[in-house]
Amino acid sequence: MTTAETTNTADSPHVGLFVTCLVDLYRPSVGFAAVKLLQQAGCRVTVPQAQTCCGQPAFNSGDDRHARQLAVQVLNAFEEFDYIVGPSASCLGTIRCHYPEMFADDTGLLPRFEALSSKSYELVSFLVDVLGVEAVEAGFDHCVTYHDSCSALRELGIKSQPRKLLASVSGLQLNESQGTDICCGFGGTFCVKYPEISGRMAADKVASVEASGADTLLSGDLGCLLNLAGKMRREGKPTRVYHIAEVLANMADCKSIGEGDD
Amino acid sequence: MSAAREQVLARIRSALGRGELGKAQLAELRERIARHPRQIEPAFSEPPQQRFRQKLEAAEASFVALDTLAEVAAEVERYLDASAAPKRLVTSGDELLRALEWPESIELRVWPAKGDDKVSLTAAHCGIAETGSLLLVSGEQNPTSLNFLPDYHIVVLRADQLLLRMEDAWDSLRASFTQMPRTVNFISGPSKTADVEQTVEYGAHGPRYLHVILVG
Amino acid sequence: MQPHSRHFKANAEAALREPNLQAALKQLELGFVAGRQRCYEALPEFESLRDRAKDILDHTLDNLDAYLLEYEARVIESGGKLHWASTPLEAREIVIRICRDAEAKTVIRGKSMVGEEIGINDALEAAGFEVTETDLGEYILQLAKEPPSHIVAPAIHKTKDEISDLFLEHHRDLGFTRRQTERSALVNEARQVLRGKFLAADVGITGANFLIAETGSNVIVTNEGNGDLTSTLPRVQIVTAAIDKVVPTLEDASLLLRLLARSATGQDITAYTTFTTGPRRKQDADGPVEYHVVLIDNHRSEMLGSELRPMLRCIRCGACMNHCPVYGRIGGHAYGWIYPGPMGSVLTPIMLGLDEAGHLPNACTLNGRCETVCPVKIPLPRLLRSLRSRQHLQRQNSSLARVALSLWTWVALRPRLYQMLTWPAMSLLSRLGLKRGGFRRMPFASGWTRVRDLPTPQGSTFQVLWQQQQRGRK
Ligand code: SF4
Repeated sequence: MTTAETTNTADSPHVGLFVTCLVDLYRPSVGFAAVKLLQQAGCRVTVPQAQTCCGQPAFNSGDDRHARQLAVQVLNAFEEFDYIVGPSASCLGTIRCHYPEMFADDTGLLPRFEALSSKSYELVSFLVDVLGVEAVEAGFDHCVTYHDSCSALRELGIKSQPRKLLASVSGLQLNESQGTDICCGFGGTFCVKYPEISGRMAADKVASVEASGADTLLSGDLGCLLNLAGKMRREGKPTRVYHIAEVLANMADCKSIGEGDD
Repeated sequence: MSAAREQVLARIRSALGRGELGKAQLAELRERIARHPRQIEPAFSEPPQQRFRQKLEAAEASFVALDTLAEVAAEVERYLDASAAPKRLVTSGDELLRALEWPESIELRVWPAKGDDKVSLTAAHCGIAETGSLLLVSGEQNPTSLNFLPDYHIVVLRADQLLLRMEDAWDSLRASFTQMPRTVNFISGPSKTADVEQTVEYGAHGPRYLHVILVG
Repeated sequence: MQPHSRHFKANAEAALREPNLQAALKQLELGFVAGRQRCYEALPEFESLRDRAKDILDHTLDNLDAYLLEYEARVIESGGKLHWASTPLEAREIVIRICRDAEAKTVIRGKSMVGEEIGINDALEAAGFEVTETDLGEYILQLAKEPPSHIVAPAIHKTKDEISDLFLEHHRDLGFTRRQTERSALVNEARQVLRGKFLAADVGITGANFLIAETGSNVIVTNEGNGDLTSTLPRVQIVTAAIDKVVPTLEDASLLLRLLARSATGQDITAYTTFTTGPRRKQDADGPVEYHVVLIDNHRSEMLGSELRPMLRCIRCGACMNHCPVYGRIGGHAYGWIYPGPMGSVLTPIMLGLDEAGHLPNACTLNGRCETVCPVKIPLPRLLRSLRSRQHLQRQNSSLARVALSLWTWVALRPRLYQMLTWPAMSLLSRLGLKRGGFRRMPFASGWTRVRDLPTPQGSTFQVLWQQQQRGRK
């Protein structure tokens, strides 16, 4: 396996970064933000190259065989690290909650997946809950609102952690919007199978973001963000959309999601 | 019919991956039933009577506490006057109510209720503080229809029969009856519905008004 | 009713364009959802009650045959009759036979979902009986000839205006010639019309929220009191209940009752909670002289033996649909049968088959809000996912989606190939969309772009950039 490494010190926690396929393909800046945040917090970060997708699309489509194959690929690539961390609650939720479920009957692999599960974390919750990060060094002179992704909120119990770190970003004001616990309508393949229902859910979410008075929308999951940014563009809303890692790493100086040249 | 019975039972057993339960296991289940363990009973800190009243009033029932049974008739008259309700009562034959003495101004009939009776008076077997409920049981002198047909339902409850929870009511019933009465009603307010545009309206099919008189 | 779950997509799209329905659905969050939340916050024991409820019901299901037999013995002891039915057809036949034997003409019904499930009304009417629903919501739907759109609030989709029209049309002959427009007047008119039905009925059919093995009782929970009049006034009472309604003791039922109304409507307890046991006793002042229970399986024993067993814990509170963002946009009729929302998306495919109801398990974002509020902790998303697996194994899902997904997985299982293919694809996409920041249309992604733009990717892949950066360092 080829790995590309950066060093902190040899005895600092060794994190395998699970980039997630969406970040890899759509928004590499989120990956770099994740690396920066982890390194700042004292981790050694490795990005295994033998990683692609966690298998959630297959798993949620009932294709258990392929989902398991991808899970094994993740296991092999990440087992060796102290932690597996990634900028998505959706993917890390799959690894943490569903991998053991997928291999419940496989006495050979189950213990390995349980071990992987117990050291897998979504990025922001890892920073706060495991590394004890209290604040970040970043500035963002905007009024933001935060969208809780369903996997973060309900699968991984992440709610306070992103808000805690956002509170330490200088210049940033957080306005909560109504119904933060309601799904944005992404739902993986759901959004293309049932576009009308998904579109209405996204429209309602966009309306509550707008009603919050925020000029920027943040979240920890790129799936939700692409959905909402796409809906905002379609409706001609000026709200800017970033992944929370970009703001926390002080790297939100690039174009926001779906932003053009005009 | 009994073929269906055997089929359903057989399917259940095969779904559970076993045959009929053995004697010992059945005995264990029967023992659990006989022991009827109490499950989780939420705590509350208010005095029972206060809680009972609050819950009832929150459900739009009215409530009054009297010291003695002798005051009940006057209270009923006061309530009917205040509600501009007819002073014609149909009552159950409950012992507690038989002891009451009525003024001439009130017309009284012992059950059965008819479809057009406006006011009924019954006695509760016990009350439940946790939920603000009255427990009424059917019987020789206690027709269930009295609890549901009239517009005004007045219920008398002896204060020493105010229990804490539904589970206490079960123990009380077990002590009072050898068999479950045919009907056991927990009544926790007047009849209501929210079937028209999710907005509550009172007096759907049962009583529009529930008046609770606690005595003692 | 004739199911139309296979038309889910078209049903849903029509529902999204229905302004009255949309207005009614908006009320859910303010009404039922907020009400449940208030109850939840007021009861510190709520979570431990949920855990215990799950344990009690799992224990009951593990011993279902034994508890049903205990229940049967108590029903018979108390003078009632118990009938078993494997299928809806058998159940209908039993009910009709009881009504015929009683020489009944008129039948009144208290709201019951299992009654809907077996299609009892149509069957009784076809057999020549006059049937009247007595729950106000169900009554409105009977007049409108519509199925329920919610398991607790069946007529939630109906506006006051529509109800005014329905009542005028159907009550005119009974002497109610004024079109009522106030809610209270409508409720009062229904009360008067139905009062006559109650007093005249020969048979009353109710459902059961629970059956108690200890005593042979059935439990009915209502706010209107219609269930009580139905089980008190007619000379024959029939209880239709599914086999998964049994619980061991009165104490077990008490625990579940603490969860039911709170989860359903945000009440601590409903106005009426009634335990009925057998027919009237010899000395009783009133009550039916005959008491029958029809116990219905209808695929439940099959679920018991599968990974869907947890679904049999369901106490029909409706919280899952109240909290479901999909139900909240399209309402219940779109699901095409009587059980909507998350619980219906599990039950309908089992009861009607995946051929008919194949959309339902898929029409869900797996956001999990239903599971967090389900009072008996049914893992609804997991069950929906497992139905998807069944579809996948039976090749019942769309072939295009299958191919696309297989292709993706095939590539994703080959990281080198994946990196070789994705980088050029992303940089091309980025160059095409750089200026505008997103695409309004995209071949093969019309499902996405029909309702939203596809944001432009940044241009390279993380893996490629990362490796470049690492090489630069060295
Ligand atoms: S699945 Fe759970 S939440 Fe839904 S109706 Fe059943 S008990 Fe209620």
